[in-house]
Amino acid sequence: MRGFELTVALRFLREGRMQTALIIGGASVGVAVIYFITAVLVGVQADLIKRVTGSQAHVTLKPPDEIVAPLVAPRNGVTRLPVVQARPQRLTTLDGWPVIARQMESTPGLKAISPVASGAALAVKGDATRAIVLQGVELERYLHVVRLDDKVMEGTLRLESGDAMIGTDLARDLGAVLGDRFRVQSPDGGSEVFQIRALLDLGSRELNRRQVFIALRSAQSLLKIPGRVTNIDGSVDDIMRAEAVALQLRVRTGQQVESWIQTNKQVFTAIGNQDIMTILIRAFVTVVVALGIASVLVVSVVQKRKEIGILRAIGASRNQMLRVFLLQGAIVGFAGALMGSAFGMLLIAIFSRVLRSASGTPLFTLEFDYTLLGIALVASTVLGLIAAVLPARTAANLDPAQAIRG
Amino acid sequence: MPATANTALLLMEGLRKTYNAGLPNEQEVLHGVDLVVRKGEFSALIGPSGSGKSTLLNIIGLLERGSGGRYQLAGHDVTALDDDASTQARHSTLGFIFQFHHLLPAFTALENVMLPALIDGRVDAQSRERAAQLLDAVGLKDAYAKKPAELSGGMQQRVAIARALVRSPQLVLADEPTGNLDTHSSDTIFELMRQFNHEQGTAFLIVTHDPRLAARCDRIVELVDGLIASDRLNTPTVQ
Repeated sequence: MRGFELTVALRFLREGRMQTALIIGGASVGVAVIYFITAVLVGVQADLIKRVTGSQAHVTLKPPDEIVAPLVAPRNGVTRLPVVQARPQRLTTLDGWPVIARQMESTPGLKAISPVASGAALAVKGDATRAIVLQGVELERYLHVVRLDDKVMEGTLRLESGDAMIGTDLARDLGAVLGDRFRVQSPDGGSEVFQIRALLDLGSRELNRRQVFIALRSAQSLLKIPGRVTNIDGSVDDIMRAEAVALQLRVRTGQQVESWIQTNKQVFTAIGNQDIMTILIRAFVTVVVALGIASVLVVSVVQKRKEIGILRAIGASRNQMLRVFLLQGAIVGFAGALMGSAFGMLLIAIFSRVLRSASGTPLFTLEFDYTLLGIALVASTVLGLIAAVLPARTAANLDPAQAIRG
Repeated sequence: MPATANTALLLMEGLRKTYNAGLPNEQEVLHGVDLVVRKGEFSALIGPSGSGKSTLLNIIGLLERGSGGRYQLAGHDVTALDDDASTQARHSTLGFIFQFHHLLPAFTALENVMLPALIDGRVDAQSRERAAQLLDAVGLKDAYAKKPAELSGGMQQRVAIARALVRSPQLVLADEPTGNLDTHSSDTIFELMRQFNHEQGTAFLIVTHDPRLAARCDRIVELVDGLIASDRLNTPTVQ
């Protein structure tokens, strides 16, 4: 026999087989649910973020919006309230962009940048005319900012002059297939014919309908902004810190910088709400498990009244009885965490085959996380201990004389 | 017979016990009990139901506290000890045998006897040896590994005696130790207590209803309505 408390705690638990099995089962399910929810959430968020940021730069640097500054001479004693109409935004370019690009490069947290000449245009093929967004990029550089390689449905990545890569839906709208040629007309009268080298799936119908990637030089000449760019796209190391990087860039360059977080406020809010929901679910599951452990131990104290009385009569102290029941809670919590971890892994393994993201890849994968296991074990043990406080105190405060009498 | 400091194991003066003090159902169960138990004494405590025997035994056993009077055990005043101190005092001086052989069902006979040692935190070859010796002495050599449910009532009570004696207490309190046993088993239990009394000088205070049992003790204390009605030495009748 080992220490008194541990020996008696284990014997009591073994004696109450069914109760012990049920409560450990309950704790296991709780732990498994928490594992599972966490895995699903991490998977869903990763998928969502990947989908949103997959075809979009993490940060985009643009010239500041043009504003109307009315020239009104102040007159003494008179306050003037001019009615100012917002002016329509023209295609503006970044003045001296190579300098700005150099300023950007040394920003901590920023991974790569790529200059872009972007503008609205029309794609024409036969009778079909579609409004498009031209994205003039240097392919090599741009691939470090937005990975296009995993979005190619047909064809190959290639952007020499005269090459274009377009969204799949646009191709369908134009009635074009890989290798076909179509004409691009810019608002300023530029016009050029491109050959479709690749069909891209950019993750959303809107993008697939509008996006046309061409070489930077071609875009500059079509949009009549030779040698200039409209924005500089960048990727960051940690996408959740994109906003901080954007702020830094704003300060460094004095230009307007938007992060994906700003342009996808709803998505970001959704992620935040999901986090809150998960925390709530975890908290409720935790409370339910704790109440379960506590209620079983309360019943156990009642059942073991006589035995507690005997132990007290033959010399066990109050604190020893207290520890016997605290230990039972801790043991149940620990065992529940062990079994629940195994059960949770099983759930994840099974559902990683069932739950898939829109693109068909598994939403999450089973990764054995020792840290999570460690946290689960410690947290669950402590939880069991806390749940046992009330019953343990009841046990400790039993009047031995009454308890023995029955 | 005056008790001197070195022969009195238990000294009780004017002990009172009131239940539900201050409430409408207030009830005084003991009205001032004076009792002395000397070392190695083998006494019976008799009395009708409701006379306060169990309450007195609980107070002597430090499971309850008196409401008035003085109580001295093994030379220490234990009248108003707190829970921890009375646990300590109980532990070092007293052994208990209950009517319903209160063993812990989840533990084997040997483990039940070793429980007090386990509580003390010393479980070694020595305490195991001691427990085994006691089980041998009560005639349960072959029952070490049996659970209480596998033992007869008489055998369970013998385990309880072994457990009461494992710490070599100076006083064993027995509450109707043969209360639910047949005559043969009762005799065995009584003889075992007698034997330990003779061999180890352990004092016994036995609460009993059984006049036959009381007649075989050295001293008979009779409690009636919360007061000692008679207290006489007795020459055990040989049966």
